[in-house]
Amino acid sequence: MPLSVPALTDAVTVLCIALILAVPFAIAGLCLINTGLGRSRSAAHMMMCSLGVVGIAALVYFVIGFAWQGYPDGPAYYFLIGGKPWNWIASERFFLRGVPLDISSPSLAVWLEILSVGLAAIIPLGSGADRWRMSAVAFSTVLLAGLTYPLFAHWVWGGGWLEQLGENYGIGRGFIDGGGSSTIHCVGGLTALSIAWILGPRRGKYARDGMPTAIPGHNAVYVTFGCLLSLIGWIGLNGAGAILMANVDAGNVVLIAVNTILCAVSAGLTAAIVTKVRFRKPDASLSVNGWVGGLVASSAGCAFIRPPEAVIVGAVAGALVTLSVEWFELKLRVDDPGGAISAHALGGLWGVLAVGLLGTVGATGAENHGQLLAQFVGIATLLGFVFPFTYALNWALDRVYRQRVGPEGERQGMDLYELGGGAYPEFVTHDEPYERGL
Amino acid sequence: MLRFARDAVGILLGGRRNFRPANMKILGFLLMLAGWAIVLAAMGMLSTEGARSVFVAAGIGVETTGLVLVIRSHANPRGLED
Repeated sequence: MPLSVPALTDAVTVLCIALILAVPFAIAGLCLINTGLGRSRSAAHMMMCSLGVVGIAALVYFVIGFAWQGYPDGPAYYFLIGGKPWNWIASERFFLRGVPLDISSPSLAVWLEILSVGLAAIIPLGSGADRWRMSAVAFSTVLLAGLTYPLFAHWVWGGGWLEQLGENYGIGRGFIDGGGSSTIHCVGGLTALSIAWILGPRRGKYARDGMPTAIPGHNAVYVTFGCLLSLIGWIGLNGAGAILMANVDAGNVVLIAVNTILCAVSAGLTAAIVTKVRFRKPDASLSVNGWVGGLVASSAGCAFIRPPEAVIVGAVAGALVTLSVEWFELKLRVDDPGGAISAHALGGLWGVLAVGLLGTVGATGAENHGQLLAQFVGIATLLGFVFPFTYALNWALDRVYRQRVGPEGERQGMDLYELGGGAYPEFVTHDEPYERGL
Repeated sequence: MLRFARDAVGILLGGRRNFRPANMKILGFLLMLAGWAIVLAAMGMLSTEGARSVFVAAGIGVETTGLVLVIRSHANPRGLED
């Protein structure tokens, strides 16, 4: 992997701008999915939190995040192991000072990153739905956008040691993640798992004997429409990410778009088939989770796999997400209303692994074999460092500032309790459960 | 500290059942970090791809063991106690 900033032609610059303009659709899609899969009495709260999270993430990334993420060729801190430099954190200036905000490659990367960090930060909202205080969401977002995301993104996209594995040790082309399966989705998904564990399940979700109660999402239309919006955003995210972050030739943009679509549709259809076989009818929310899982899995390798392989990646992601949602709920007692852990953490891990298993990144078989090892090193870093790190940050935050809303807030619903009004004021949304104290 | 060490040995050997979940969680996360350290050491200290692969696999195995402990430590989530 050449660690230099690519020089872009005018046509490629215009293409990148067009692709980045599509990325907010991914954010909008995830907001709708998270909202639709939650309760109606927390719908306005979820949308308000989503807006706040995107705003806080962008501001924190502007102030400190980019200074620690940086980009290839930028200033960074190194230490030497065996004579090889290990680039572990960037040393840019705060407030984006020194970054030429023109149409150069680094400035386009900054634009994409400000949106990407918002996308990563709204993922945990899905797992904390209906019980996560808005102020705690804000503090947790500061930790993610200011520490966890920039550090790992520097290692993968900023010329860090994972990206340098190929140059320093001849391991494939170094860790590859074109569109953010690991940097955006695994980081967000592992934070979602931390949040779900720290908050605990919603009141009434589990009986004392541990049996779960179904709490279905309140609006399937939001959820499915969010899927379609996400598809537009992901094409932009994968295309711009591959060109700007993985130095993929812009001529591959059609391949990237086709692979992204094929991954999503094959994952969604696989999820529908799996649920049809298991429950006799296709399940809308699980199919949506499968679709999102396919999109997430497509991100890492969309520029390095062929369309038939994209179908395989998507199908595996769809089955994996569908089965793991049930596993998390029934076996592990993790209450994840939005399916964020399965779709983003597991889907992202599978996407990263698929680059090594199915991708063609080098001219020789040896390079491709080494690539699998590089991808495993990245997965080991996600599980061995990113997950404990984000868990510890959110656990420490919970010790000084309780993240879960009180029982009264859960009984009233987050809309009334934290916003003073509901998303659907013309409808009575919580009569019976409220009376029964659930 | 002594109690944590006693719990840790008991958890790893499988013979101690009344350990505290917090200790199991801490031990699990420490194992995950240790697994990552094995992977990093393999990158820095070994030269052949075969040896690196073995150590990376071992590191991921240690991380998985830690993850299992963390999962078990959350087997009785907070919401069930309400």
